[in-house]
Amino acid sequence: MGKNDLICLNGVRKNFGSKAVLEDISLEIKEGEVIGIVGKSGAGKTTLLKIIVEFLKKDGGDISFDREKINRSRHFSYFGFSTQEKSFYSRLTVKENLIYFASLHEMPKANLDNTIDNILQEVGLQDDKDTISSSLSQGMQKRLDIACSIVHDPDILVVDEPTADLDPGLRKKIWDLIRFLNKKKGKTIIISSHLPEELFAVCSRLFVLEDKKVKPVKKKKDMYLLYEDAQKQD
Amino acid sequence: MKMLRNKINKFKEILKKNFILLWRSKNTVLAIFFGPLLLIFLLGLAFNNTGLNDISIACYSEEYNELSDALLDRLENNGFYVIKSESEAGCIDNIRMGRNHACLIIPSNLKIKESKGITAYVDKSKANLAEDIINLVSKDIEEESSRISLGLTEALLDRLEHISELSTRSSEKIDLLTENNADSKKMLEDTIRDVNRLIIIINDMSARIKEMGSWIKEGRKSEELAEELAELIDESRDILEDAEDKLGEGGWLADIEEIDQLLEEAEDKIEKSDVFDEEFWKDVTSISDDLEDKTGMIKGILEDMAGRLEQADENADDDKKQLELASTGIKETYSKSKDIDIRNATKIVNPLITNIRPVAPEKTHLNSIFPTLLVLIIMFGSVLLSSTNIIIEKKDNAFFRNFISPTNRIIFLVMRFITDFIIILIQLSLFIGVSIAVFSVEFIVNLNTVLILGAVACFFILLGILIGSIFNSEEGSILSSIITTSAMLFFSNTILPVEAMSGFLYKASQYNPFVIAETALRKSMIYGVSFDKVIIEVLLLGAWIFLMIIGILAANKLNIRQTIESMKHIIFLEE
Repeated sequence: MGKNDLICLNGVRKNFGSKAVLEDISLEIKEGEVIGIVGKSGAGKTTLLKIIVEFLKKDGGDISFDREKINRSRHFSYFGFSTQEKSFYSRLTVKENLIYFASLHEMPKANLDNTIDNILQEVGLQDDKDTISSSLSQGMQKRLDIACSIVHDPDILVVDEPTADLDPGLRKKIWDLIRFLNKKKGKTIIISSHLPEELFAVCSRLFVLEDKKVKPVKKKKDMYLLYEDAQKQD
Repeated sequence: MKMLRNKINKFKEILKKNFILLWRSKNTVLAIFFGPLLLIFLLGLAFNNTGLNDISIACYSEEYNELSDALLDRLENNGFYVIKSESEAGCIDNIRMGRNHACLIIPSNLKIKESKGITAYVDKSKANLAEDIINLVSKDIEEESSRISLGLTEALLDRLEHISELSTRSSEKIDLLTENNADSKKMLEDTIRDVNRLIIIINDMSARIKEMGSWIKEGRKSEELAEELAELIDESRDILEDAEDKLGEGGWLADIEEIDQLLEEAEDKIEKSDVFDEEFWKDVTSISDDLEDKTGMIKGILEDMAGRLEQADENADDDKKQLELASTGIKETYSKSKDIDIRNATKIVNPLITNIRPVAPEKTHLNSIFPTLLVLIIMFGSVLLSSTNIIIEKKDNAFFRNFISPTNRIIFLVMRFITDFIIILIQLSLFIGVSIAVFSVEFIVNLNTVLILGAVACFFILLGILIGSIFNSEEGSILSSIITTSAMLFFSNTILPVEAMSGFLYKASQYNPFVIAETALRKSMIYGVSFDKVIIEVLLLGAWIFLMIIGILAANKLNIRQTIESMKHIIFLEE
């Protein structure tokens, strides 16, 4: 593990039944970085993300964490995870969702209202805090999902397919938010997407997940060569 | 302290979230809160009464008579619809087809002495109703039978009384006959004595006549002999007169008169004769020979009479014995008839008075089944509600974020338990409130009742949580909930008495939580027993609750990997 490495994966494997999904995954995630993982749909990006934060059990290899920065006893408190399926209660309002998930992390009630208001400001939902979540648009729901992921102020944010099914205008808003969270809030962000151009614009480092393995990408050209099929599909 | 406050806040927010989600699903709210209301109204309208209604009885007899019609009238007066069937097969078929509740086959021209009784057919597949119908119909038939028995018994007692009186009168008459018999016997004995004396005298007289006759034939013919002859004739005439008096009317009177005439003739001859010559003695000898013949004849008659009198005497002795026997028999009959203490026909027909009283004051069906209803509502409501809620939570997108929070999974289950417990409490309050306010259901509310209801609700909610923890699909969870609750229902007193089950299952049913709950509630709500009387049931429920908790912990530990694998966004933390 390197000096600034927060998380280090070494030869990690994952099987679902007899089917190998990931093989020999090795990468490091440094503090303050924006790491992008690009790959085709079904390549195993979400699985890799879940393994990175130890949400899914690996079947081989090592994952190490900087335990000075990521305390074992409160491991999940250091991570925020924004899922593709938007993990919040659709029948609660925006604010009710945030209050609820904040309470799960035992955040003090005293400053909670302020914290929530700030988060809503950051994600651009300040005018919709009393709106029932199911009546929000796709983009707003995604932002709410991100808000739920960061309500407890995690150090590491994992975002799975942040701009899936969004129009270009909304995509821009999401990427702006991600940049904001990284640049202004200093969060380490790990993103997965099947849209390489957007990742390239935001990420400090990119990896391509192909044939169950990750390969680092330094140049855009290399990424396109490695990811030809993805372009064609998109 | 701050951490504790944050923890408490977490619990409150989870609880709040549960109720907000429930409240914002209007259909769910409707089902949860109006369901029990609808149920109690329907149950109250249906069962807030006593007895059975609209019970129809089919009957068949080849020939109806007064007795069978009286029985059928009694049934109709007691609220049954009585329909006469065309045939026995048709009557029985009506039950199978559900047109009638029972069928009575009455013997043709029903008689009191009829050895072939009334046969009743019921549909045992409707077990509870069948028992009630059998009891009601049997009761009516028994009452009619008692009424007839009463009449017969009264007639019997009257005859017994009459026999008793007859016995008394007959006994008196026999006593009189016995006295008469004794008198007659005495007279007979006297008469026999007299006849025997007469026989002796006539024997003597005959012997003297014979002797005289032999003296005359020997030649001893003298005046002295004539004087002796005259004396003998005189004595003989007295004897004859005496005999005539004693013997009374009879065939011998003519013979006696003949002898008397001969004696008179001889007396005249002797008195009128101065000379006792050969002609005199020839005449006297002739008279003597005639007298001998006649006295011989009289003697024969007398001996025959003595024989007959002795026979009569013997008969009188036999009659006396028979009269004594008859007297003894009649006295015994009288004594035995008087020994019967019970002279009241009602007491003979119904010697044992049975008063069947309910343990609790008799109330409506709704009141009687109220504890069972409560347990049923808690059981079905709790198990289905809590198991379904667990599955809904697992399938909700938000489950992922709950799972990856630092909050232990068990906390969510505990909060789910509390949420469901509060819902069940509200349901029970509505149910009980309407029962009391609208249908005047009466039962005892005390700490025992509250404690038992709480324990019952706890158990069934935990059972639902366990089922929800085991299964990952709605259909699996609902099906298991229904099967589990149905099994508990069938192995209880609700469908059939548990006493109808075979050995092992009967013993096992005593540990059925439904049975335990029902028993405890019945004791507490209807009979108002103290806590020590229900402590066993409470402890058993406590044991079941403990088992449920263990099961839930185990199921969550074992099932979690399966849950994760089946839900793409669910994650698992390796410790």
